[in-house]
Amino acid sequence: MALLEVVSLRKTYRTSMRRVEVLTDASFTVEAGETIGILGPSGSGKSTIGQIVTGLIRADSGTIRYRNEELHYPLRSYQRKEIQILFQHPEVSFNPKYRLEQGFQEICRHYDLRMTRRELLDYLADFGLYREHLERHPIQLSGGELQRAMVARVMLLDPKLIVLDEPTSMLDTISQAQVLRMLEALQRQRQVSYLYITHSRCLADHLCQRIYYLDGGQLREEPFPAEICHQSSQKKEGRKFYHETHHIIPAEHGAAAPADRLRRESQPK
Amino acid sequence: MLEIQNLTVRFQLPQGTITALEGVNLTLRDGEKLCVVGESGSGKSVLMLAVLCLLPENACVSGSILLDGEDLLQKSQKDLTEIRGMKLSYVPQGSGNSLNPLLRLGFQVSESLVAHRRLPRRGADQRSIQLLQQFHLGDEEQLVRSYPHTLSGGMRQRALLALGIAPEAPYLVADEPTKGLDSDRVGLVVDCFNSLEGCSLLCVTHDLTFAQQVADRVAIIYAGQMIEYETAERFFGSPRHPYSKALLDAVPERGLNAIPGFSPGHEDYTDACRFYNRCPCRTAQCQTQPKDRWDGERMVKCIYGAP
Repeated sequence: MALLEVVSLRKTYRTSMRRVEVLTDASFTVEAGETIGILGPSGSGKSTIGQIVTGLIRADSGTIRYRNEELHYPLRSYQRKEIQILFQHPEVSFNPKYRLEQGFQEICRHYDLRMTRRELLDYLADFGLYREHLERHPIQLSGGELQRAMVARVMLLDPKLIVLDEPTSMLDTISQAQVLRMLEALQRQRQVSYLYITHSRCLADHLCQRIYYLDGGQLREEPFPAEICHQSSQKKEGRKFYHETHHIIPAEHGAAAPADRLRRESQPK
Repeated sequence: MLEIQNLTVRFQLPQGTITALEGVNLTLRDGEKLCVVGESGSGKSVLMLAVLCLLPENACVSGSILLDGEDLLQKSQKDLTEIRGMKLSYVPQGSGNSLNPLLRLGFQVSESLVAHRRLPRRGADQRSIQLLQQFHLGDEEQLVRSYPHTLSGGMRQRALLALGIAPEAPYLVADEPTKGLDSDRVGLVVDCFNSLEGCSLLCVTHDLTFAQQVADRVAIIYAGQMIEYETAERFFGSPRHPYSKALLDAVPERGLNAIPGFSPGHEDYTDACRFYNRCPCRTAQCQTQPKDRWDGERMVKCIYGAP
């Protein structure tokens, strides 16, 4: 059983000026503990998929099953906690008026996590964040530091599926390598699945077990491994297994939601 | 020719003085393309703003910045206004608030043509459509009438590039022109920069793949100091500073290997080499700051990488 099954997702953005059909028939699955990549050019609707899966926006039609249970919007209870997202711009992911520590306390308050300052500091040391960072405001921290803090904050909730929406495209090369390697290590420790949205084929090759390409609103699975830039070969054995277990369930037509009811929730990109 | 000599920038803050940039020497020859590479917080943007004389008022700048022999730091505001745009043009970073949200895109692109090239309004509008077409934004006639918020981040970034190259100034200063663009779009920026005949480019970036395609020369900045200054060919073939090696190893195409540790904060600066704590080849000698070792037009600030 797949952790996440997405079948025939459809989404159109409407403004007074124009209609943009970003997803016409997008289907994919994510297994527990694997990373799948969604590739595509800018504006192709990659981020839309991530936001639908995390419950930030609703699809016009299609079904999403998480642990064999359909997603209910807005997401509640375990679904809300276990499906998380890491955004492209870490500098706006934190409240600019909060010191970093308050940003963490906010999460603890909302999700009823008890953590003393000592425990928080011990936890954050693994992410390369120390007491001095906690006292600063987001504007005083670098992009790499903020994105590591973001990873740390998301991981506090012990999620099972994280949407990585271009998490490193705003970071410098070394921070990018650090954040991505950190995410890989966390995946090994915690068996978390990633839905990695990127426009870099090379990064996807490094991280993902399977890659989908978003084209004309549909997802097609890309052949693997790519000859382009992959150097490590130990991952390829793992990939074979995922290829064998990968399957897509045909669309359920009855589950389509009336488009006009959702119209007011549509927003321009 | 743009010559930066012994440039040091300090900021006066309530907590004390912070040294953002220390003793930078570099030369940008006519028609040459120089990429300044560094992590966020390394001081590369400060270098760029110093060249444009756009640093905030609490900045204390010493050294000299000679543009065709004239020191920009000694110029009056009036002269600087004349120089910016006519001689020195700027491509700001696109993700944030570089475009005025209340003005249509076409107006903002053509504004620099009207102001600096003295083009009539109508001619400027035509020219700005052509400039936008160069970056394949799609439906440009319609686009010039739209407002910045309707554009995606990548589109805004490319519009800013069109705006920056519009006045055709002999010197172009670009701040992270590829941030957040996908590889196809980065290719457009590369083509654009490579087609700028006779224009000198000072480009601040952390995208090494992009730098490799554009740069004639590379300057690496780490914790406020320039640590390597090298021709692009040599740098991407055999970098000399251990940090430069680490930088290239972290490039996805070269293995995505992260070195441990993080660059030091301003309060952690000691007498040792700034890279000391992370350096795989440190020795007891590295407890004191290495000198800039110049060899003709190349420089490395490391005892290890010296020729």
